[in-house]
Amino acid sequence: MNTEPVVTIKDLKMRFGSKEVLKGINLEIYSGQIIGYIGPNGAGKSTTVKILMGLVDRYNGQIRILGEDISNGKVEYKRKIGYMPETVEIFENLTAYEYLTFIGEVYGMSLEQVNNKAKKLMALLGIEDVYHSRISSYSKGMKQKLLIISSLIHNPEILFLDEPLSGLDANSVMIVKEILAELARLGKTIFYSSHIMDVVEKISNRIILINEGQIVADGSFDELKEKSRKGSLEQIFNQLTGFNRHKEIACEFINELQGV
Amino acid sequence: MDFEGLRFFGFFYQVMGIDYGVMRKILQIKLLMDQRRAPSVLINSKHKDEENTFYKSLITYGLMGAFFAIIMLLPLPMFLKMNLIIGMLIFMITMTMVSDFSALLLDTRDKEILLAKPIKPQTVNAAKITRILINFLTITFVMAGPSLIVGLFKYGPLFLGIYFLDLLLISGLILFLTSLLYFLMLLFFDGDKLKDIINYMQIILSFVMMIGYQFTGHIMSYIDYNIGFVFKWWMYLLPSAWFAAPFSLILENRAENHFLYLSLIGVIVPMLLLIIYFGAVIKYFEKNLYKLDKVTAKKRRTVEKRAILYQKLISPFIPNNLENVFCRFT
Repeated sequence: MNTEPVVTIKDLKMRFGSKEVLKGINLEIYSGQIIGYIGPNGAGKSTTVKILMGLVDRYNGQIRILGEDISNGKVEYKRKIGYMPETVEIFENLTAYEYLTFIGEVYGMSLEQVNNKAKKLMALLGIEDVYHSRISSYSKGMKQKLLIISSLIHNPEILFLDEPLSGLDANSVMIVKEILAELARLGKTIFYSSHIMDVVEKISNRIILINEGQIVADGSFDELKEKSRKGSLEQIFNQLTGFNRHKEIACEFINELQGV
Repeated sequence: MDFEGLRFFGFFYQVMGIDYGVMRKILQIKLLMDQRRAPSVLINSKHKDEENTFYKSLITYGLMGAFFAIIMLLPLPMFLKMNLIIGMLIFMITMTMVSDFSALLLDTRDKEILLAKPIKPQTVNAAKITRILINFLTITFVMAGPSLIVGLFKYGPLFLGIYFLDLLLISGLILFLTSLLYFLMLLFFDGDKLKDIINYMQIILSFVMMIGYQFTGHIMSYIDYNIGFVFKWWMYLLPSAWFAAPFSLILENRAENHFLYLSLIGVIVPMLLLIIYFGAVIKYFEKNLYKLDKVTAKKRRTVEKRAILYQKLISPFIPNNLENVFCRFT
């Protein structure tokens, strides 16, 4: 395994207006790791990924991806990165064929090459019959599969995935989990965010928990378990984010509902 | 869609540090999506999801253009006639821009997908501007086309030349005005309000279209063909007058001072505005665009209070709760 980190983040800080979203993130990611990036809503997860993808600037700190500082304005490093955004909403008027070949061609693949690949990948995930249908007619799961294909089609070294498994049925989840594990075995790096703790617990070999713009836990599931003496990732999550009011809140919620 | 003509400009794009090949691909995809988008002139028609709604809307614009061409045939004074046509052109194009092209001008969401690819931001921006220009010029020339041709036959090639240049200047002016309008709105309102205002524009547009159709048949009988033309100072304030003046000045050889001044204003003002626009405004504009995507969590207490008050006022008339709700939201 390569000992040089693939992604290095040093003292990353970011503020939106007066609100400090990231308060100094330090992180080194090595190839072959599957990293689950978890944290409560609004903790700064997607902001981190967006900064890594060069979608947000005016951050403080240093980021190196594949040995290159990303603040130098070059976009070439993105060739080796697959990014799965939350939605394809804006491209919904296109068909999968149009969308995927467009994405592939932007990465420098030939139309024929990307077309063949896209068709086969769609077939493997069981959605080949909608290859020429508009994306707007897809179900949530089909869109998710399309997003997964579009982020992988150029065979990237590093993958940033945002909730890769949401909306997928149990069988597809198994396929995608297996794909991710196999990619990691091939030395690719996978960095994904998720809210489904069971999944994170099972497929990540490293878990990073972020809360209020800071990393509060970093390590394998076993390490986290040992440190916090809790049985499940969900409990660890609650403990580390200092959240223990779930019962109270649920009670108040029910009371308010019944009060009408 | 084919745009071989762009190949000629390829060189300019390269000089500006833009990846022409990639820009072309982005443009291709975007224009494909434009063809499938239902434009607001056709928003009431049923074939929303069909292909080529864009071409269908072009036919509508073409019909409007034909109406302008009819005005061209009327025996009115040149200045008045051109004023009318250009005034209507400016109005129609601005409205179409505001209602239909908001999607193009304010499209920031594609950045998340496009900029995550190895594409330079300049290339994405160039594709965006080119897309707007293609759409915009297509509509402008479809609307102005019929009157252009009629004018060519009636007044000769010189007319065509003036009209063509005028149209380019008018396009610049409209582009600036629309952007300025958006810029101001973004400065004061959040994204939700802006979307509301775009909706209002769409309503006004369809309203004007409706009334316009009613009038088309009648207007010929109302026109008094003997109106003389008297110049008034406030005409300097009418953009349509700036662009109508060169026709009188050159075609009719009326070298009167006010025609000369008006023509000069018509050339200088749009140029100046475009320079200001590309030089300064566009940067602030982009900065404010992020507001569109942000959900503002303002306290809307007055809205709640007003709704409750309204309900109390109306409940004596509509005691049924369900009907009451529908009444409030219509």
